[in-house]
Amino acid sequence: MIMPASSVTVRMYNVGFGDAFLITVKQHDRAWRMLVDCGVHSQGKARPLLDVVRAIVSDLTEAAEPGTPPTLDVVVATHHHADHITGFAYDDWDKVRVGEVWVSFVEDDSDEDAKALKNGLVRAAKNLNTLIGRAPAAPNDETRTLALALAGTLALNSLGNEDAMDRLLGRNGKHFLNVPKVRYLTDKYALLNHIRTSLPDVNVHVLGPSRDPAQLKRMNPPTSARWLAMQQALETAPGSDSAGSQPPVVPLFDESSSVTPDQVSHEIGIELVSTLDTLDLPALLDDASEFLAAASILERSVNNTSIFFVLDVDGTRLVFVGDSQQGAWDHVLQDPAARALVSDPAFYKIGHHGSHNATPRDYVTNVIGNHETYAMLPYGKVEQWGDIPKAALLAAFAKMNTHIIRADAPVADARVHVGPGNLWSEITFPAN
Amino acid sequence: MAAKRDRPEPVLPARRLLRAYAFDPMSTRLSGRFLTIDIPFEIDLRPGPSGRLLQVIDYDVSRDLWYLPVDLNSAAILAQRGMQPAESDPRTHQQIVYAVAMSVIERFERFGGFRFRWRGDDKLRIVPHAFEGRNAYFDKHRRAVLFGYFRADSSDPGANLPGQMMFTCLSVDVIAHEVTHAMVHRMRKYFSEPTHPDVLAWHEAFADLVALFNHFGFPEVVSDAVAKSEGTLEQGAALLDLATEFGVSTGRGAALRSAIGSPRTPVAFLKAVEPHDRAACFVAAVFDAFIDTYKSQIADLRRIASAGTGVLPPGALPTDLVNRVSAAAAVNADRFLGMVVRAFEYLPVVDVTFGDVVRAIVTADRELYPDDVAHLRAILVEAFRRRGIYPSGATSLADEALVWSKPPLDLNLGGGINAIDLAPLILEATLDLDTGSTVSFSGENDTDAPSGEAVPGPAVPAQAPHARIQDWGVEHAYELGLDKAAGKIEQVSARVVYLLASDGQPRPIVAIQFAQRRDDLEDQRTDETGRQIPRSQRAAVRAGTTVIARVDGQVEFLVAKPLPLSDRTELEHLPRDLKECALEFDKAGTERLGRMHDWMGDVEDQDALSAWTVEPATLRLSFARLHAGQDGV
Repeated sequence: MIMPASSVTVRMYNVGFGDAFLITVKQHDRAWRMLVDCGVHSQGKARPLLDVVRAIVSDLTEAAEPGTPPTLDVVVATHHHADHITGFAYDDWDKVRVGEVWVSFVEDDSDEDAKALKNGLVRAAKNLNTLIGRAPAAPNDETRTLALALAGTLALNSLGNEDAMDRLLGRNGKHFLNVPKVRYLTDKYALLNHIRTSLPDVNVHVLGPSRDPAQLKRMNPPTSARWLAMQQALETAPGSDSAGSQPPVVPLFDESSSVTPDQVSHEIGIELVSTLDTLDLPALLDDASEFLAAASILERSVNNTSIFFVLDVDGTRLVFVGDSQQGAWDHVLQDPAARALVSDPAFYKIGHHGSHNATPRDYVTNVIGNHETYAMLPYGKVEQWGDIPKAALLAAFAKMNTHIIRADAPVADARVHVGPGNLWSEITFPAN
Repeated sequence: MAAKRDRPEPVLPARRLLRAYAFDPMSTRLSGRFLTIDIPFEIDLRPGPSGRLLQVIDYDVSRDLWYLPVDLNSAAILAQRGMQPAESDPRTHQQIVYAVAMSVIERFERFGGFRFRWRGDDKLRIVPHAFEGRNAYFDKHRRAVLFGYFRADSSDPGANLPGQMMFTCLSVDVIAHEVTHAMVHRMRKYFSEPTHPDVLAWHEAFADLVALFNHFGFPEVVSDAVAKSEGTLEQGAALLDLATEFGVSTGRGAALRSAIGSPRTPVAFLKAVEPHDRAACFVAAVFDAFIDTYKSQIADLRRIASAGTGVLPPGALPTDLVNRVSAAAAVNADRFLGMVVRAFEYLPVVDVTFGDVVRAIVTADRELYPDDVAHLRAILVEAFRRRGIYPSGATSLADEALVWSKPPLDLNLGGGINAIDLAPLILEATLDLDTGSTVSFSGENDTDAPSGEAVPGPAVPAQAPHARIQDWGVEHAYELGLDKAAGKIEQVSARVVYLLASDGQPRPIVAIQFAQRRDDLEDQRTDETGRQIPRSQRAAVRAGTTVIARVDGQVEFLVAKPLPLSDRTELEHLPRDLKECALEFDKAGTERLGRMHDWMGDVEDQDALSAWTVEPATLRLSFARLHAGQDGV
C-alpha cells in the first residue's frame, strides 16, 4: 500500500503576548485545519487583536473552495485565559464553519468536580481583583506598586473572557457559523483521548490536563491561610473595606490595657520605643506580596488546566502544551507512553511564552532530543516581565540545536516564512 | 548608715516562678491546669519585660497602639508566681512569652556548654500581637519573633467560640518552637539559606523537638498523664498521648502528630520532600528512642510495684510510683534532648542534611561517652535507621563509620605562621560561665561583619584572638576545603564550649566556623552598569567548614562543605599532599554544587512566582511562608 503523501504547516500569528496557531495538514487534495487558541494579554499587544482575527478568517476564506464558507475542522481553546481565547469574542467568527470545539474538561458544567474547581478559580479571580482594586496605593513604594500591578494583570487574565467562552460553547446566542460539537478534554475514558481526524494516519493524542486527583491539586485556587482569611472577610462583608489594609476597628483588649499616644513617653520605656523604631512593623500590613503570591498561584492553576496534546501526522509529531506549568508536565513526563509521544518531536509550541516553569529542564535536556526540532515562541515584550522568556531556557534549547522561531523577532531560516508586516511566521514539515 | 550595714537586705532569689497556660488557653480551660515556669531571676528586669536576652515589644501595628507593659518585679506579681494568665489582659501575654522563651533558652544552655548570647549581645525581640493572621514566625531580618492573632473559624471553631479571638502568643508550644528557630539561627546563621531540602527541615525538626520535649520538663504534667494511663505503663502510652497532644490547639503539627508513634519504616522519610514532613520523621525517630529507653528504665519500678510479677494490681497507680516514673521520663527526655543539642557544635556551617545531624550526634556523643554504657547512642542511631535517616554513602552504622573524619592533613591551631594563642578564648568562655563574675566579656566574638574582626569589649583581660583565627583560616584554606583564591574567608564564630562527659567532668573543645561566599559560582547576570547583580538579589553559594579542636590546638574533626576551586593553577606551587587534598575537596565540591543547583531549580519550578520575577525562589523561602503554608499557625 502506498502511504499518502502529506505535509503539516504551522502558522503562528504574531498577536503579541498570546497564542494563535493555525495548523494545516495536507494529503494530496485534501486538507484538515485546526486553530489552537486566539488571544492576547491586555498588557502585551503587538497589534489590535481584531486585525489578527480578520487575518485568520481571510486566510481560511482564501483556502476554502469557492462558494464554501471558511472552515476549521477543530478549534482548540487550551485554557480559560485572555491571552489564549479573547479573540473568540469577535463576531467575525460567525462566518466560519467549525467541525469541533475542544476545551478543557474544567469548562464542563455537567461535571461536578470540574464545576467546583472552576467556581473556585473564578471566585478567587474575582475576589483578588476586588481586593487589589481596594488596596491603597503607595506611589513612593516601587516594590509595592509593581507587585500590585502584576497581581492585578494576572487576576484580569482569568476574568472577563465569558463572551469568548460563550462562542466556543455555543451559549448565550454566541456561535460560529454553526454550533459545533464540543469535546471536554481530557475525556474520562482513556480511549477517547486518542482522536482520529478525517485524514488517515493523522491522529491527536490528548495527554492533559490530568484528571488524577493528586494532579488536580495543582489546578486548585490559592490556599494560603492569609489569603483565605482575606477572601472570607471580603465575602462576609462585601461592601466594607475590612478585608483590605484598613485598620480593624474592634479593639483587642479593654481600653485600660492600651497606652494612648500622649501617654507613651510616660508608660513605655525609652528602650522599648527605640527598638520599635527599628522593627519596621508597618511593613507587615503591606499585603501586596500576599496578593501577588495568590495571583501567581491562580495564574498557574488556570494554566495547568491547559489541553496538552500531540498531533501525529503520519509519524511527524507536533507537541502543543498550552500553558501547562510544573505539575501538569509531571503527569506527562512520568508516564512512559506519554513521554515517548513528546520525545524527539518535529515541532514544539513553547509553553507559557517561555516562562520559567512551563518547560521542564528534564524535557529540554532529556526528552526533546538533538534532532533540530523547531520550537515556536509566541511572545510579545511586556516590560515588567523581564524574565519572560527565560534566558536559561532559550540557552538550553540552543544546546540541543533546537531552532527557535520567535513571534516578535523572526530569524533568517530557509524553512521559515514570515508574513507581511511580521503578521505571522510559518513552517512546513513533510510527513515522514 | 552603719546600722544598715549590720542588717543586710534579704538575699534576692535565684529563680523566678511565672505562670503560663498548660499548654494553651483552651486546654487549660478544660483541665484547670496552669504551668509554673521556673526561670533565672533577672535582677534588673524592666517593664516589657525587657531583660538581658529578651525584649517584649507589645505594640499592635494594626491599631497603632502600645499595650501596657508588665513589670514582673512589682510586688503584687512577685508575691504570686506571676499574674494569673488571662486572655483579656495583654500583660499576662507578655509574661507568658517572656517566661517560656527564657525557659527554652535556659534548657538549651544546660546542654550547650557555654553562656548563650545573641549575636552582638543584642536582644531577641518578641512581638506578641504583631499582626492579624493565623501565623507566628521568627523573622531573621527583624531579629524578632512575631505572633499573630486571629478569629476562630465561624463555622468550625473546634472547642472555641465561633469568632473568638485566638492568640498564638499564648500557646507554650508555639512560643517554644519559634524561639528555638531564633536560637538555631544564632548557632548557625546560614541554616536559613535553603540549599538542600533538609536545611529548613532541620530548623523545623529541632524547633519541634525542643517544643515537644519541653512538655516532659513539667513534672506535674507528666505525673497527670502517667496516673491516667493506669495499666498501660509498659507501653509508654501516657507519654505518647502527651506527645500527640502537641500542637493540636495550634493547628500546626499535623505531620508530626501522624508521625509520632507511627510504624517505624523508612517509607515516609524517603517520600517526604516538604520540610515539615521530613522534620516530623526526625522528631518521631528521636521520640522512638526516648520511648524505648523509658520502657527499659522503668522496668525495675514495675517489678517492684508488681512484686516481681510484672502485672500491676488493678486500680489507680500508687502516687509514689507515679512520681518515680514521671521523674524517670523527665530525666530521659533531657538525655535525648541533650544528645541533640550537644551535637550543634559538630554540625556543618552550611547546607546541613539529616545525615550530617546523625554524624554530628554520634561524633559529639562518642567523644563524651566513649563506652555508651547506657546504649543511648546505639538506640538513637537504630531509631534513625528504622525511619530511613542515615548519612548517604555510610558503609555501616558503627560508631567508627559515622563519626566525622579527621582532617586529611594534620592541623593544629597553634601551628604555622599564624599560630593562635587559645588562652584568651578559653578564659573568655570560663569567665562567661561564672554568673557571679565581675569581669565580663560583653565583647561578642561573633560578628555580622564579614571581616570577622573582634569587637573589643570592656575590661577584657586579653584580646580574644579572632584576627589571628581569621589569618589561620586563610593560611590553611586548602586544608579546610576552602579556596584561598576565591574571595574573602569569613570567620563566622569561634568559641570554647564545655560539654559534660561521662565522668562528670567538663570537656572543653574549640569550635570554629569558617564560611566563604562564592560570587563566581552565583548568578552571573549583570545590571545596566555591567556589574554582577547585587548579592541581595542572588541565591548565595557558600562553602563552609566547622573546625573542632582540642584546647591544645590539635584539630580533631573537620566538617567541610566544599565547592569547586576557582582556579586550579593556583595549586601548582603547592606541595603534593596539599595539592591532592585541595583536589579531593574540589571533587566533592563539584558534586555538591551540582546537587545545590538541582535543588534550587526544583524550588524555582515549584514556585508559581518564578515565572514573573527574576528574584531567586529560594530567597522567598522564609519561615513566614513556611509556617503560613501549614493548615494553621
